[in-house]
Parts: sequence; structure tokens; C-alpha cells
Amino acid sequence: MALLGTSAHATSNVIYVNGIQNTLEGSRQTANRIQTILDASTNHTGTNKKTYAVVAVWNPIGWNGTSDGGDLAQDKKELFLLKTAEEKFQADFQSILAPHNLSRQIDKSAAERVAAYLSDMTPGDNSLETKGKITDANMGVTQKAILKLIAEIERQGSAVVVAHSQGNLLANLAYAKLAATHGNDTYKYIRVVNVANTSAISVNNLNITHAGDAALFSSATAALLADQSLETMPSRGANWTRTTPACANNGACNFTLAQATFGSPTTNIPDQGAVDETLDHSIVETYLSTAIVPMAINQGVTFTAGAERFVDRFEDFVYEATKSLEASQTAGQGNVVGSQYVNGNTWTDAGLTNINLKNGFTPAYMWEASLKITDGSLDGMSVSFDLKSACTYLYFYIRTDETASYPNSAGTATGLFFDGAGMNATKYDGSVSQWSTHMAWAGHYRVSFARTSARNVFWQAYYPSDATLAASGNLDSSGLVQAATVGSSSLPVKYYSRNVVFQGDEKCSISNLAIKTASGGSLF
Amino acid sequence: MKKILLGILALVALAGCGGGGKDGKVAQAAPENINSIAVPPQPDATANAATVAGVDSDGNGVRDDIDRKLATDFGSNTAAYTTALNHAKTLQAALVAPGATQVAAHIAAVACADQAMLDGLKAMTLATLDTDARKSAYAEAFAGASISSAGCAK
Repeated sequence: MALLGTSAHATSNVIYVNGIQNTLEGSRQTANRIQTILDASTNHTGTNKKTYAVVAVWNPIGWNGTSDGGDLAQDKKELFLLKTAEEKFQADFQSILAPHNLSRQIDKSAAERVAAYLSDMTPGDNSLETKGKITDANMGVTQKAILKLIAEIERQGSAVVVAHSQGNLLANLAYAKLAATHGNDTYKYIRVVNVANTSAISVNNLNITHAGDAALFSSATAALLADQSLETMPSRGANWTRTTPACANNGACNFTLAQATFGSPTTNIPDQGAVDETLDHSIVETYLSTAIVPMAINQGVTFTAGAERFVDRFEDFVYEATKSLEASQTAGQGNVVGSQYVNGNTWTDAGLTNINLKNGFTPAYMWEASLKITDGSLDGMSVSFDLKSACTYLYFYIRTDETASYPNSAGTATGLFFDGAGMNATKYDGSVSQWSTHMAWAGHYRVSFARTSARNVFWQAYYPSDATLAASGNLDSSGLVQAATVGSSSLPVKYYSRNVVFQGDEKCSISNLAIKTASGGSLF
Repeated sequence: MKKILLGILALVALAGCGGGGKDGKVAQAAPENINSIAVPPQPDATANAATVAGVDSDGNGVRDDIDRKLATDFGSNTAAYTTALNHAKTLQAALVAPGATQVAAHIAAVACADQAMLDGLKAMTLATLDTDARKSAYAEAFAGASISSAGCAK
């Protein structure tokens, strides 16, 4: 057994979870197909190519005869119940989402509330339960499948879960259960790649669902054919009703699904069977096919140039999930463990805020950690942090809201600072490296700013494209922010900065962040 | 050779039974061969559907109706027949007595089958799961089963 949350193997793990109407053999066939695709890894060669081991975890067909209706009808009832539960826990699920390209905090309490729907798989307030069409016993095998999925992830240490169709609803509950147990560390164990997503949620923002999937979207139903979509299932004759935050008063509202992330395929899907010709929903026949499919929503996945077939997209998604998972196992996730003191105030971990995707910049910063500093005085500042993996983009800067302009050379700045040609960094061991092209290497860094003259606290940051700052007059000719202030060597330097901000991409992560005033003594 | 051996074994079994019932098994009126494989007669549908185990008159660990389908679908290919027979036996064992050993044996039979065989084996599974009780037993036995080719002979 691998240590949970570690990348113990040179081989990366993929667990496939099937949708409805699959036997063990069908599940294995799909896993074999995925294995073949990843073995070939057409779009990843040389050192970029990874080795994968694909395991199928079987999601059973309905509850197989213990209630009324045929297998498909029973599967649909199970879907109805899972979607009803999702509507009830969806608000809580928002607090445990972990997009693959962001570092996020997991609300364990919210995760526990979601996981309660795994412990009791009859969510209540729906006509199927009221009429005795479904019981906890009926859902028992689905519950068992989810618990075994969790066990398989734990056995492997970590895994990319590829969930198809209804399997996504199982994967979400498995994720919630892991999150309830492991909190922020959940990010080290699992990524979910949603294929033909039946859920309203994409927990890691890795959703491969095309707009022409008629098993999901009513709008994809071909002319002259009956609507078979999950979206409209409650209102199509069965009169399956529910009362949830998304559907009031025992209604038969449509189900909400996550938006399609790809358009309909622009070329013919070859070699489909009769059923999938109608639905374009099968993982093997459609989602792993060679049809060209255009991206509709950018989820931060790096696509191979010129490779736009379903099968190419799928490979790129699995690789993105794997890279994200592996990075999280070697990085510190931005945990703040040091005490921070500025102006005599103790900053708790809660002072680290806004770990979030920062929109509006090019490129988008995948995460941002900022420490709010109220207006005040200090005699300098020391910042230390561990950078546990390489970053393509890492920015550390003092965000200023001053409107005055300042000299662009004053005092000293030792340690990490930024210049117009690139970024120089002094590592803790005293060695200096230049981060040209903004590549930051893993290591322990410190930044110290000391007041050594009347005009000396000099914070300089690379901040190339902020229009507000540009308009403020605080950018020098190199595009650097000048935030030094004029003061007296005998008086605390007045500063006006608003935030200490770290920004980085998904590959980099800081930990052990600590900040003190210069007079507060060395942190190291 | 395999088919010949099976035929001989079937004849020996019939001789031993003297054509009459023994150990609660259904009497066999006459030997029948499908694709040169001796198979039991088609069982009574009602009796066969009454339990998860169904009717296994020759006691080979496979229901009689499934024995016949195996011979029909795979009998012309000895290797495929052997694989499918093992698949059927392990499935039947897991349905009737779903202990960890039985379940693991069937999962191995599925996991180690080559891609070309899986379609045929899937059809056999669907044929086997022809009652609600059998479907339930299948789901109970295998829900959440991990199917990996690790450990299979290359």
C-alpha cells in the first residue's frame, strides 16, 4: 500500500469509474481502451511521456432487480436520487471545490455535510422515496461502490479518477468523503476528470463534456427523435418530483448540469453503434473517438497544439490532472506556519487571504496569497518562504495605493528583488540566481528590506501590466513599481502599501511563509 | 483434443449415472453435443429460474443453459471455450457463494481476458444474469470491484 497522498510510484494511477448499464467486462474494456491511449500518449513524447496504470472500479447497474422496472428504469431512478441529493448539497460543495490549477482551502465541515449523503443515500423530499420506489437497501450497492472507490484511491496513494456519466456523481461523493477526512490535503490524493458529466459540479475543473451529448442535454436531441436527456428526465412523463433548494414545492424541474466545456464535434464520429449514434454519449465511441471537438470553455488545461480530436483532448486532460496532482504532492500548498508581526500585531494564518484565481491579468495568475497591511509604519520587513516547486510565473510584490511618485533608486534591498531584466534571487544559502523569464526554482528564500538611510525602504516589484498602477505614476521606465518612501533615519518609515502579495502559477507553491518587521529580529 | 476429452468424460458420467437421477440432479435422457462438446439438456425454465444457482445437472459448476450457450458461442475455438468456461464457473461460484476468494477469482477471469474476448464474455454475463435475484447477487458481489490487469500473464 502506498502512503496516501504521495507519488510513490514512477507509474501514475488512473481509476476509471463507469456510468450506467455496464458489466464488469464493459468497464474493463473501457479501462483497456484508456490504457491503450495513455500507453501511446501520442501527444506526449520523450521526457514528457508518463507511464500509467489504469484500473476500473465497477459501478453496478441500478440495483438489479430488487425494485420494479427494468435495469434502465432502475438506473434512472438511482440517477434521480443522486441528482436530488446533489441539489441539496451543492451549496456546501462549493466550499470544497479544488480546481486543478488553484490552491484552495477545503471547508471540512462542508465536506462532512456533503459526505452525509453518502452515509444516507436517500436524501428525502422526493416522490420516488415517498412512493416506496427506492430504499436505502436499493442504493446499497452504489454506496458500496463509492466506498470501494475511496478504498482504491487510498490503496494507490493517489489517483486521477476518470469518471464517465453517472460515475461522476459517485466520484463527487468519494471526493467529499476524502475531503471530510483529509481537509486541505485532499488535493494531494485525487483529481477527477469528468467525462460526459452528469453533475452540476466539476470538482477539479477538468470537465470534458460536449454540447452535442443528447444523453445529457435536451438541446442536443436530434430532430424527430425523443428527448432522452438527463436534463429533462424529471418532467418526461414519469412525474418524478422533489423539493430541494433548486426545485421548490415538489416540482418536476429540469436538472442542472455543468455547462458543456466543448462544442459539438465538427467531424463525423466514426464507428458508433446504433445507440450512441443517437446520443453521442459513450466514452469509448464518442469521448475517446477521433472526431474533432472544439473547446468552448477554457479550464486552464494545456492542449497539444493541433491536436483537437476527442482522444487528444482526453489525453491532455489526464496529463493535466496528473501534473497537478504530482505538483501538489511536492509542494506546500501555501500553508502559513510562521507567526507574522507587523507593527506589534500578531497575524494569524487567517491573515493569508485571497488564495484565488486572479483574473484580469495576462497571463492569469493561478493563485494569489495576499497579506493585508493597514496603513502604518515599520522599520523594514523580512519575509521568508519555501518555494517547493518550480514556477513559470512567481511574483512577489508590495501592492501600493499611493499616488505620489518616488525615486527609483534608494537604500538597499537585499535578498529577493526584481529588476527589469529578470528577477534576481538570493537564496538562504547566500547563492544568487537570476530568474530570467521569471522562472523561479524550488528552494528556501528570504527577502529582507532594511531601513539604512533617510530614504531607504525600497520595495520594488515586477508588475508589468496593471493599468491602475501605470496611471498612478508609480511605474518606472522598466515597468517597476516604486514604493519607497521619504522619511528620516530616526523615524519609522511611513509606508502606504496595501498588500504583500504572492502570485504564482499552478506549478509553484509557497509554504512556511513568515513576515516580521526588521526590528522584530531575524526569522531565520 | 480438449473437445474429445470432454466428450469422453461426458460419456463416462452418463454411464456412471446409469441414465437415472443421482445426488438430486436431473436425469439426462440422451447425450447431446454442440460443436462436438457434450452438453446437458436445456433445463426446465421455471426450475432454472427458481434460485440464483439454477439447474446444474452435470455438476460442473455452470448452469445447464449456460453450458449450452458456451458450447454454442465458443465451442468452435478451444482456447476461447476454455477461457469462457472458466469465466462462467467463476461467475457462478461468486453468485452462489460471494466470498472474497470467489469474487477475486471471477474478477481475475475478467481482468485477464484479452480485449477480443471481453465482448463475448459480456454477452455470457448478461445471459447469466437473467433473473432479478441473479442481478442482485451480481451487484452485491462485485459493486466497487477493482479490475486491474496487474498480475495477468502477458
